[in-house]
Amino acid sequence: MTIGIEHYLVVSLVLFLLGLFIVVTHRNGVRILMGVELILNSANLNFVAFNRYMPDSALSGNVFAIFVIILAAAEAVVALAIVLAVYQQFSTIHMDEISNMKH
Amino acid sequence: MQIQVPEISLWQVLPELIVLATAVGVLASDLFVKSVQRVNVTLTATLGLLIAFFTARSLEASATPIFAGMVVRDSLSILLDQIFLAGAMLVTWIGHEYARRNPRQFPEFTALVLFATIGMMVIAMSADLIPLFVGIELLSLPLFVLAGSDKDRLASGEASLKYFLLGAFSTGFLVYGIAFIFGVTRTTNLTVIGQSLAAHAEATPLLVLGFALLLVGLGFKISLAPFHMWAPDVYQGAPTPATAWIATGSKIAGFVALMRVFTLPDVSFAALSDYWTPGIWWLALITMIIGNAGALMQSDLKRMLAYSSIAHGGYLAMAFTSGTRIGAEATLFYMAAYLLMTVGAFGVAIAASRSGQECEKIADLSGLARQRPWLAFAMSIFMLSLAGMPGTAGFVGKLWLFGAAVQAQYYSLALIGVLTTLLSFYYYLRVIVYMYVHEPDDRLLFNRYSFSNGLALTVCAVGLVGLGVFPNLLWSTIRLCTGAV
Amino acid sequence: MNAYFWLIPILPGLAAALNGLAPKATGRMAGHLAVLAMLGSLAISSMALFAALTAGHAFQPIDIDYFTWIGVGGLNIPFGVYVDQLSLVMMMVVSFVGSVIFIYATGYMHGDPGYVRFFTYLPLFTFFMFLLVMGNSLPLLFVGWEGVGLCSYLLIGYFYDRDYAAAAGMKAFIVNRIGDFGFLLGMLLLFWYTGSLKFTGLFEAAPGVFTAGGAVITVITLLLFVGATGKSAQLPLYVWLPDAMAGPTPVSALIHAATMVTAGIYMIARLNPLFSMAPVTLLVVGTIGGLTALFAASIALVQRDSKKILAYSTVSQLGYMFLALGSGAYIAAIFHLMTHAFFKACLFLGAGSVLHAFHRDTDVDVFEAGGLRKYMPYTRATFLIATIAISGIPPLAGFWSKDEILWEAFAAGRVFLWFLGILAAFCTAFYMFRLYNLLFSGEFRGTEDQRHHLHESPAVMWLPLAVLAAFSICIGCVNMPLLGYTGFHDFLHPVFAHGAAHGAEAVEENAFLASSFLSEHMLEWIFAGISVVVAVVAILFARVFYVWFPNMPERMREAFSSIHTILFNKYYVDEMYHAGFIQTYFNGCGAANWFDNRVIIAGLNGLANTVRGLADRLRRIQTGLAPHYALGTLAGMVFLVVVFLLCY
Repeated sequence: MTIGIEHYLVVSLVLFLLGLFIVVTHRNGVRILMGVELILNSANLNFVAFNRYMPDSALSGNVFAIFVIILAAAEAVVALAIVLAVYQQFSTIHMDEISNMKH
Repeated sequence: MQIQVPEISLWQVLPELIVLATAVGVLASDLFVKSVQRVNVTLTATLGLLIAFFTARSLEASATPIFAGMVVRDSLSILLDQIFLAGAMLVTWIGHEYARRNPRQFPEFTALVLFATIGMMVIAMSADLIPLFVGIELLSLPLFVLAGSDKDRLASGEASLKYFLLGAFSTGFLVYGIAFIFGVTRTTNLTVIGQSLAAHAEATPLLVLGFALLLVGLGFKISLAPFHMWAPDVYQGAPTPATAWIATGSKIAGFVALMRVFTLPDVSFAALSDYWTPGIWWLALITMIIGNAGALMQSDLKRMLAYSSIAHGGYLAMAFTSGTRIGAEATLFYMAAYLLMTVGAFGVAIAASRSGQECEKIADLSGLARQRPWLAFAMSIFMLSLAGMPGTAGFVGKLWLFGAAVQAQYYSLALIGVLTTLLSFYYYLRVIVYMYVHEPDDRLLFNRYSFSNGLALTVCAVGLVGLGVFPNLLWSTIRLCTGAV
Repeated sequence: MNAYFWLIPILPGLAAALNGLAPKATGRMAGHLAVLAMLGSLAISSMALFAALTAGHAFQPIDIDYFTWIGVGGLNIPFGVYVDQLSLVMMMVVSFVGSVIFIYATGYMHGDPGYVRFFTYLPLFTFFMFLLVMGNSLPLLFVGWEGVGLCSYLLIGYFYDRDYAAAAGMKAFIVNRIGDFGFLLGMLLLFWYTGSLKFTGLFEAAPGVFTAGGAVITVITLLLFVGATGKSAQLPLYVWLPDAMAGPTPVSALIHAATMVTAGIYMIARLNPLFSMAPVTLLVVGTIGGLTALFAASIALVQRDSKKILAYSTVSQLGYMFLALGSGAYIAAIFHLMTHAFFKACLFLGAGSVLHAFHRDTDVDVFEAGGLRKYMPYTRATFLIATIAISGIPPLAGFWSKDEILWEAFAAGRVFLWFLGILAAFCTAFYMFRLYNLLFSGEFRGTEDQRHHLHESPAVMWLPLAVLAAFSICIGCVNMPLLGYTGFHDFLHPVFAHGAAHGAEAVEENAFLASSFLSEHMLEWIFAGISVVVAVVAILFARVFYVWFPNMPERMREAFSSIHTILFNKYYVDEMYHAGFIQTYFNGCGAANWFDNRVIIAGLNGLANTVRGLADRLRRIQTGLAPHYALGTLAGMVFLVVVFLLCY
C-alpha cells in the first residue's frame, strides 16, 4: 500500500476531531489548552502533507507550519502565565468554578 | 539549491518599526528607571504613535507587494494604519486615567497596547495568508494578557482565561481552514490566488470547507454570533481600557483580515463570492438579533456595550457581505466611526468613577449630568451615534451600511438591521436617561478625570459630530482606497 | 481679496463659538468680541464692494468651491461662495447694519444676566445670515435659512422664563416650518428636473429644461414662494412676526426688520432667472405682497405697543418688496430692502432706547408715553428722521425706493398693485407719525415715578442711532431716477439681465403709458408728486389727531367702533387660525391620542414585553462556562459548513 495524501488528511482530521472533543468535554484549563494544541498540530500535518504532495510546491506550506509551531509556543507561554495567575486568584483552574460572569 | 534574498525595503514598514521601538522603549523603561512617571510613559507612547502616524501618512501607496509578496503598502493599508494608530493613541490616553487608580499595571499596559497595534497594522498590509496569521497572533497575544492585567479583580483573570482558551480554539479553526485553502490553491499568496481566480474562478468542496473554517476563526475576532460568546464576559471582566482596545482594534482588524481574504477585487477570493457570501449573510443576521437582544436587558454598562459591539459587528458584516465597492466603503467608514464612539463610551466608563468605585452598572451613571456635564454630554453623543442619530457619524455610517445591503438586494437583512436598530434606541437612550434624569443614589462624588481622558473624549465627540456633518472628510480618502476617484 | 471671503462668515462664527464654549473666559468681553468680529466682516465686505465698484463692467461674479460638501451618486454639492453684485449688497447690509446694532446691543444689554448667551446667539445668527447670502448652492442657502431661523427662535425666546416669549418662539418656529416645507419641496423638484442645485448650474440648465410659463416651473416657483412667505412674514404666514417682538429690541432690529426677514426677497431675487420664467407666480407674488402691505399697514393704525406697530410696519414694507418682485422690478425690491434696513433698524433701536428709559424689556403702551422730546433729544431726532424716511418724504431714502417700486408697478401694468401700494403708503405715513407724536410730542402721560427715571440713553446707544439716521437720509442718493442718476440700478443690472433674456414676457407694457401724450419721464414726476402729497396729507392727519386735537382719536374710535375693534384685534386672524387649524388639530390629536393609547400603546406594550421576555431568555444561553462557549463555536462551525456546502 502506498501512503497517499488522503492518509495524511484522514490522520489530520482524526487529530482535529480529537482536539475538538477535548476542548468541548474537558473542564480543566490546561487540558483544554492541550486540545487546542492538537488542533493546531493537525493543521500543521495538513500543511506539510499538502506541501509534500504538490508538484510545483513553493515550500510555503512548510513555512506556514513553522510559523504555526513558533506561535503555538508563544501561545503556550502566555497560556501558562494566565493559568498561573488565575490559579493564584481562584485556587483552581476548573472552568466550572471560573464562571462568575454570565448572562 | 539557490537561496534568493528578497528585496527588503524597511522604510516601507517604518510606522510598524516606530511603534515597535516605542513599545520596547516603554517596556524597557520599567526595567532601567527606578520609578517611572506615569506621564512620561503616556507622553512617550503618544509621541511614538504621532511620529508613526505622520510617517504612515507620508508613505506612498503602491499596489506592488513587497517583502517577496508578503505585504503590500496600498492606500488601504496606509489608511488603516492611521486609523489603528489614532485608536491606539486614544486608548493610551484613556488608559492613562485608569492607571492612576491601578498603578501596578503600568507601563506594561501601554506597551501591550502598542504591541497589539503592531499586529493590527501587519494584518492591514498583509498580501499573504502567512503575515495575516502572524498579525492575528501578534494582535491576540498582547490582548489576552491585557485582559488579565488587573490582578486585583477576579473577573479580570476569568476574562483572560476565557478569552485565551476560546481565542486559541478559534485560531485552530483558522489555521485548519488556511491549510485547506493552501491545499487547493497551492499557495498562500493572496495576490497569486486573485490572479489565478481571474483566469478561471471555480471552487472545490475542500476550498469551501476552508472558507467555512477560516470564517470561524475570523468570526471569533469580530465576535459574530455564534462565535461571540466570549465577548460579553471578556468585555465585562477585562480592565476597561483593555476592553476598549479589544472592542475596537481587534474587531476592526478582524474585518480588515476578512476584507483582505474575501473582498478585495483581483487580490483575494472576491471572484468566488457566490460561495462565501451565504455564510456571512447568515452570521450577520444572527449577530444583529443576538447582539441587540442581549444588550436590551443588561444592567452592567460594559456588558451592555459588549452586546452593542456584537450588534455593530453584525451591521458591519451585513454591508461586508454585499461584496460591492460601496459595501467596502461603508464598512471602512463605519469602522472609523465605530472606533470613535466605542473608545469614547469606554472612556466615559473610566472617567465616571467615584472614589474607590469603578463605574460598572448603568445605574452608576446616575446624576452624571449634574456633576460632570461635559462627560454626560460626550456620553450622550456616543450613545446617540451608536444608536444612529442623524447629525452623528453613526447615522451616516449606518445609512451607508444599509444602503450597501439594499443595493446588493439583501432586503430581509436590511429590514432586520433597521428593526434591530430601532430596538437598540431603547438601551442606548436608557443610558442618557440615567445620566440626565436620575438623581445619584448616594452621596459619593464623581472623581475628577484627567486631562488625557478629557482630551480623548473630546477628540471622539468632535470627530463623531464632525464626520456626521462633513462625512466627506473621510469619505473622499476611503474612495481613494477603494479605487473610485 | 477673493481669498478672504471665507473669513466673512467665519469671523462671527468664531466669536459665537468662543462665547458659547468658553462663556467664563470671554465674560464681559463677549460683546466686544462680537463687535470686533462683525467689524472684521464689514471690512472685508467693504473691500470686496470697493473692488467690484472699481472694476465696473469688468466685474465678474466670483464662484469659489472650497470642498465637496455632499457627494453621493449624482448629487454633488460643493461648499462654496458665490459673490456677485446682489450678494455684495446683501453682505454690506448685513455687516454694516449688523455692526451698528451689535455696538448698540453692547450698551442695551449691559448688565443683563444673559449677556454672554445673547452675544453667542447674535454672532451665530450673522454667521448663518452670511452663509445664506453668500452660499453658491440652494442647499447651502437653505442651511443658512434654517440656521437664521434657529437663531431667531433662540432669540425670540431669549427671556425664556416668560411664557409669552417661549410661546412666541415656538410660534415663529412652527409657522416657519410650514413655509420651509414648501421651500424644500421646491428645491427637491428643481433637483429632480435640472440635476443641479448650484446656482450657476441651475441657471444654465433652466432654460433648456423648463418651458417659460409652463406648469412645472410655475409649481416650483410657487413652492419656493411659500417658503418666502414664511420667512419674510407675508400673508398668510405673517402671524409669527408681531409676536417675535418678545425678543430683546436689538434682535427685533437686526433679525426681524433688517436682515433675516428679507431672506425671502433675497431668495427670489437670487433665483430671478427661474421666477422670470413663471409669469403666473410673479402675479401671485405681487398680489400677495400688495395685499400684505395694505393689510399689515391697516392693523398698525390702531396698535398701542410701539414695537408691535413697528413689527406690522415691517410686514407691510416687506409686502412692498414682494410687490416689486412681482412686477419684475427686482432691483427696486433690493433697493427698498437696503433703505428699509437702515431706517427700520433706526426706528427699532429708537424704540429700544425708549424702552431703556422705561426700564422695560419688551413693550411700552404708546398712550403711557408722550413728550419724550424733552428727555431724549437724540433719540427723538433720529426717530423723527427715520419716520420721515419711511413715510416717503423726499429727499430721504424711503422716498426714492418706495417711489421706484410704485412707479415700476404702474409701468409694468399692475395698476391695482400701484393702488394698493399708494393706500398702504398713506397708512404708513399716518401710523408712523401717530407713533412719533404719541411718543415724543405733547406732555408725558405716564406716572410720576416713571417720569422721574426718564433719561437719554448713553452714547454707545445713541451714536449707532445717529449713524443709522444719517444713512436713512442719504442712502437713497445711490439711485435717483427722477434726477437721472441710476447708479445702483446699473450696478445690479448684470445680475438680472440673464434672467430677463431667457424669461417669458413676464409683465405686459402699460397700455396707458403707451397711449399717453405725456412723456414717460413727466409721468414719473407726476406719480412721485402723488406719493408725496398722499404722505403729507397722512402726516397732517396724524398731527391733527394726536397733537392738535388729542380727543379726536377717542371720538373717531367711538364713531367707527366696529372697524376699530376689527383692526385692533388684527382682523382676528390669530383667532381664526386658532379655531380653524389649531382647534381642528387638537381635536384630531385627541382622536389620535385615544387611538394611540388604546390601540398602539397597548399593542406596543405587549410587543415590548414579549421582546423583553425573549431577550431575557436569550441571555440565559450565556452560562459563563468556557466549554459551553466552545460548544457554541463548534455548533456555529457545523452550521457554517452546512450552509456552505448546501450553497456549493
